[in-house]
Amino acid sequence: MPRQAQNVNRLRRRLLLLLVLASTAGAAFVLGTILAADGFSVLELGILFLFTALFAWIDTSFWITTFGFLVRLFGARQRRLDAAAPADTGGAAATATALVMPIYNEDPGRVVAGLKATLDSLWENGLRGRFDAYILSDTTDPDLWVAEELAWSRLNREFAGRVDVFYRHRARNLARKSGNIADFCESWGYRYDYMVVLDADSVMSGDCLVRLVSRMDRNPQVGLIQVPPLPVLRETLFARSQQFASSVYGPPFAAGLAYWLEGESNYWGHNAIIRVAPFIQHCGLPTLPGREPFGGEILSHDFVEAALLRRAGWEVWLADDLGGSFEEPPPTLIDHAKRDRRWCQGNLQHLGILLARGLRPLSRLHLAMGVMAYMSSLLWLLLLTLSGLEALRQSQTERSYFIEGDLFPNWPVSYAFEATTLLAITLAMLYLPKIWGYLALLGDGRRLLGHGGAFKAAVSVFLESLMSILLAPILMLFQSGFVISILAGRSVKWAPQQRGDDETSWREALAAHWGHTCLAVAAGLASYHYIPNFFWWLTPVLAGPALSIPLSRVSSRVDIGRMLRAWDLFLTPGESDPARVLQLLARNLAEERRLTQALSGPPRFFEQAVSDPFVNALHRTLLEREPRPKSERLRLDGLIARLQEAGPAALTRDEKRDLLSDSTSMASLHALAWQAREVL
Amino acid sequence: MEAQLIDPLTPLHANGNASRKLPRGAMEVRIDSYLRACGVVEHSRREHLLGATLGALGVDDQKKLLSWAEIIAAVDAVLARHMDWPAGPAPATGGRGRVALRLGVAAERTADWAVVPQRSLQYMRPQNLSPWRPPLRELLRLRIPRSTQGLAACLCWLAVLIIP
Repeated sequence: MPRQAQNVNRLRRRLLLLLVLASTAGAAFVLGTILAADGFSVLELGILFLFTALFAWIDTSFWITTFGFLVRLFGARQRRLDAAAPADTGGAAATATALVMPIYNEDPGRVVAGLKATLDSLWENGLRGRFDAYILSDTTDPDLWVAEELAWSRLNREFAGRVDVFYRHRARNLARKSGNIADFCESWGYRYDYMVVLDADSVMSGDCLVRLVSRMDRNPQVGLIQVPPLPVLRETLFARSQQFASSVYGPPFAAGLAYWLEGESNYWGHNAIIRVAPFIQHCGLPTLPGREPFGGEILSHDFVEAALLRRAGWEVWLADDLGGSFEEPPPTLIDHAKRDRRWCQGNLQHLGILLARGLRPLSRLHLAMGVMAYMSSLLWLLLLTLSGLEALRQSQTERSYFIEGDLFPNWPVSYAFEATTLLAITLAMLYLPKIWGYLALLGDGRRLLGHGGAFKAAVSVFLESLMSILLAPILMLFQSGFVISILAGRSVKWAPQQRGDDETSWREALAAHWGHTCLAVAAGLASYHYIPNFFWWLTPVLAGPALSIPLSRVSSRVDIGRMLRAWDLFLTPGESDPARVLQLLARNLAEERRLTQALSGPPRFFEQAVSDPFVNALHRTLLEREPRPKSERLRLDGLIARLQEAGPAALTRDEKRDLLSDSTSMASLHALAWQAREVL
Repeated sequence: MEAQLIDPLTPLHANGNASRKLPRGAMEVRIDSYLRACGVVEHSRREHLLGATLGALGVDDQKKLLSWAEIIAAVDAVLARHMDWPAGPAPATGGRGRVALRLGVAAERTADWAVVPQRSLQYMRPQNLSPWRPPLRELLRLRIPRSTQGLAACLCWLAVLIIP
């Protein structure tokens, strides 16, 4: 990086630090003045500490978004990556790029539909350089495994002669997703200059991919470029409000991040292009010492990989200006919380990496912010608890205004103005970023139209704010519970994300939220009884958890989401004016649905792999030969015998998977199936 | 039980019954039904492959009972020969011929179809993420300047005076 650019970056970051410190110190001073009226109690000191930490957290986000808004408004920023690549679409790339999609027990139809849309878009855009695609399966479900192979065979045939699409299934899922990618790098990384990592629900436009490659070509010091993925396609009320929020408030925030961080940005795990050679050389992840949840495999590998690239001197950029990068959000509040549970453990695990040797200060900050993203919920809960206890203490303290022997009464000093000002500032920090997002929308006619126009977008902003007021305390309780359970040593299992529009049933909502409801009602009753004045302050926080069961159920409903869409509320360009790649995805998904509906009953892919000559042959062709010890062979023969005697239902999922993993067993089973047919 | 092993989604059973009505030997019927299931719809082509398979099996007496494993291996070998793979010997093992039949993949692509590229052995070395600790020697050598000591003392006094 040129020295001048380095100085400018350093200056910018110092400015951000100054703004955050100054505004946090100001807010802490005002609160300190209020609390110090009668001297500090231990509770008040705790409140001051927690408030300061939380204020710094929202304050950082506020300043990032504010500057992002200004950068977008004035468009003054000269990107160094663009400066190095004046004609992004012009040059023909001679490099080789692999699109890698690690999957784990996902819906194969959805996986293939997404990858096909990306490849179609790439093809329509005019392929430059070599692009290959890899479906890297870690799937453990035997039926899904075979279904993936069938779906891949259709995709492979369709792109024959245009793009090579490979399928690899890993028998042993070492190190989860990061191990899956590492296996690709170790095996085939030598063939490629770059790899674009896609999630199972990722879609990227051809234009975006070509421009990413072009930027990498022209900036050899860059190790990774992340494109912020925009959530799209879900139809539940919850997901549509999230999609709207990301679409309106996301761009200024991402612009702000890119402005402050420049080449010291972060990696979010997918929808990013990575230079393969340095990744292989510097991003091998160790197993952390100790037991899970803090030890063992690194779960949130992305932040760590970005930090390792930075440690080795490679730049990591955020391409907030590219567009054409999409993903699907969790459809319901409960699914969102499930995903948070995984991320929470992964991020808290970073506590052990924060002080790792040689990491850049900003990489440590990224790791710390990931930890704080979940710790802040616990701190907020603690702040509320301490505030309630302090209010109780105040209500039970008898005040004496006339002190014996003193001529003058000791009147209490009013700090109403300071308190109101502090509340107003805090609310401004929370809601101004939303207003910046809306104002940025007003300045861009096409985007505004895509969000339903000025009035409907404003109504949507209002509704989204209302929803976030209700849902934020519920998520705070969820996340606090996660942090506590992780600190208590409970680990999380690896489960695939829910990607369909499945609604939450009343039973699921009750099971997930009864604790929140009880807590909110108990806190409400206690505060109303003992400190009625405090109760009214608490109502915005208690309302969400008290109503969490119906809220979770209602927000998961697709019909309400669709109804609001018909009224152009929570509308996003992804719905009103979808990008070409999203249109292709919609077409592919409709085709996959048609294929599924054409089947007469629930598909039994394991049985097909045994009896159907094509499915059996396809599966065996894709298996990598692995010599089996004699004891294992005997065990597999035992499984075959049990299958013959009692049918597929007699085998467990793992036993079916073991049979599927062995080519010899599958050949024997195929012959036995035809033998059995003849007996009939 | 065995019926569960037969794919219920493909019309193999019906075809099998239909084949039995043909005035053919048992072996012919078996191979014919298997070729149908493989996707050889065209009658003349099936007849041709059937003859080749019988030849490969070396069966004169068509009523002689061979195991299905042998029949399937013979079909695979015949399909491999008939697929006309462009370079080198045709892969007789496995069922690539069956795959090619159903997908209709062009012959020149069938040879390396579905084969992932050659794996390399490029090991990703686990990086050192152990936490930084100041060496003991440096800690013992640590000297705090007198001005810093003075500033710290002043701050402590201020805290004692102001906070109460």
